[in-house]
Amino acid sequence: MELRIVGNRSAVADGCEGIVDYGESQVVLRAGRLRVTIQGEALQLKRLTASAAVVEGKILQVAYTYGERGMA
Amino acid sequence: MTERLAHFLLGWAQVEIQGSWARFLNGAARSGWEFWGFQREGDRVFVRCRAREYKQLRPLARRWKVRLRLRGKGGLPFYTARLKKRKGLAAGVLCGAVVYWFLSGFYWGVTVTGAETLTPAQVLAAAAENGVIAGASRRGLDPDMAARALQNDLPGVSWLAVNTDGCFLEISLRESLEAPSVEEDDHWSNLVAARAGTVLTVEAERGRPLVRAGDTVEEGQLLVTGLYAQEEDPYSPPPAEPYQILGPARGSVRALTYREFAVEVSAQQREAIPVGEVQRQASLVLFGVRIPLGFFQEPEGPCRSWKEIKAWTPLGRALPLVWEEQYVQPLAERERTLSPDQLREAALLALRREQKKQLPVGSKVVEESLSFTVTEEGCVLRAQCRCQEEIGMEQRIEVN
Repeated sequence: MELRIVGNRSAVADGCEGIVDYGESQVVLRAGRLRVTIQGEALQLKRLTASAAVVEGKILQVAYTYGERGMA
Repeated sequence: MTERLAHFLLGWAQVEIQGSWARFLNGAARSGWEFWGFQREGDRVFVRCRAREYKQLRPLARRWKVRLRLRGKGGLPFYTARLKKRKGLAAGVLCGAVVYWFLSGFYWGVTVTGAETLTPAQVLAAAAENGVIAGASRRGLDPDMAARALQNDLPGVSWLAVNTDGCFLEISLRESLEAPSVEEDDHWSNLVAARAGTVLTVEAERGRPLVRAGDTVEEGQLLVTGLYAQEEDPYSPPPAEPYQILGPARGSVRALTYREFAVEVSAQQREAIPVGEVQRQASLVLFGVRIPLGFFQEPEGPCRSWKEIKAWTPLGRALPLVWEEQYVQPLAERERTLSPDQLREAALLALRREQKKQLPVGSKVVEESLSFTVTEEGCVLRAQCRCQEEIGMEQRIEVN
């Protein structure tokens, strides 16, 4: 998965496999065993396709966690 | 912006997802569905998708065990769907657009600016003969050529232009100043009295005045002479050869004169009186074409007619849509006998007309004595008047 962050306003996750959680303060994306947690304020999921997701808002923190492969 | 426009043109539906929304969205995304406008409220998620794809989401919802609810819709397809039930409205809009486009090919009004001695009606009448008229085709009218032709037809116009302002024409013109008449100075003349009177003022522009204010003059008496010799100065030695001047006499001599007037008015007068009811005909004038509303037959015999015209002028612009009402009042001639008071009034009016006809321009009657003689046949009015008038009359000096 490729994650491109533009400043702290926009994040494009290319190659992700889907969304795990979505809220105004947190968006969790899944890519195989990797989970990417984007935390911030007023986050909005702009686009979700089969292999990409676009998140916009005020991004405060991006965290990676490793877990077992499987659906959220 | 382009994306929003596309969503509007194709139509959108807002869907509420209850249940395992994340699994549903991931599965839908893998299947090629595209969503936007994500919102979350607790355990409910709202997304937007294309309008026609909403029904196709139901099998996916059953598969991923989520509940879908339609919470909103919008876009062009929904507007056009409403119009399909109202074909008349759409047809009316289309007809209105066609009519507006058609009417935009003509000029709707003509105004005139800059006319001083010429009346706007005169200018508009001449303009109509040259094709500058409400209802003229915009393609068929060349403003420059029309302006040149119109200037040739209107006398005393030094400059003229036909300006276009959308569907309106403006005729802007400037009138030329009349050249002053050239006085003939190549002949010799005197100013003599046209009538007897008492001189009030003497103004000699050229020549030597022989009378002063207060002098009484007779008819034909010399007032201002064009031939005169040098006056000797009593305080200087006399000149050896006094000069003489011969030329045209110019000036003004106003005097108080006496005139008598007599007018006669007959007691029997013919007049036209209205009989019957006033007939009315309404018409609609559209782009200069009169459309009569109803049948109308003009009565025979003498009649008096007049028109009332009401033009539609929204925002101060007269449009080529005029409501015209023509009224016709039948008349009948009859003789009537004037009463003594009416006879006096008529005689006085006749006297004023006679005074205006006989007295020169600029004269005025300062005192008059009236004498009415009223009989059964009519009235005779005699007036003895004192008038202030110009009595100077040019008399050429002929040299053989």
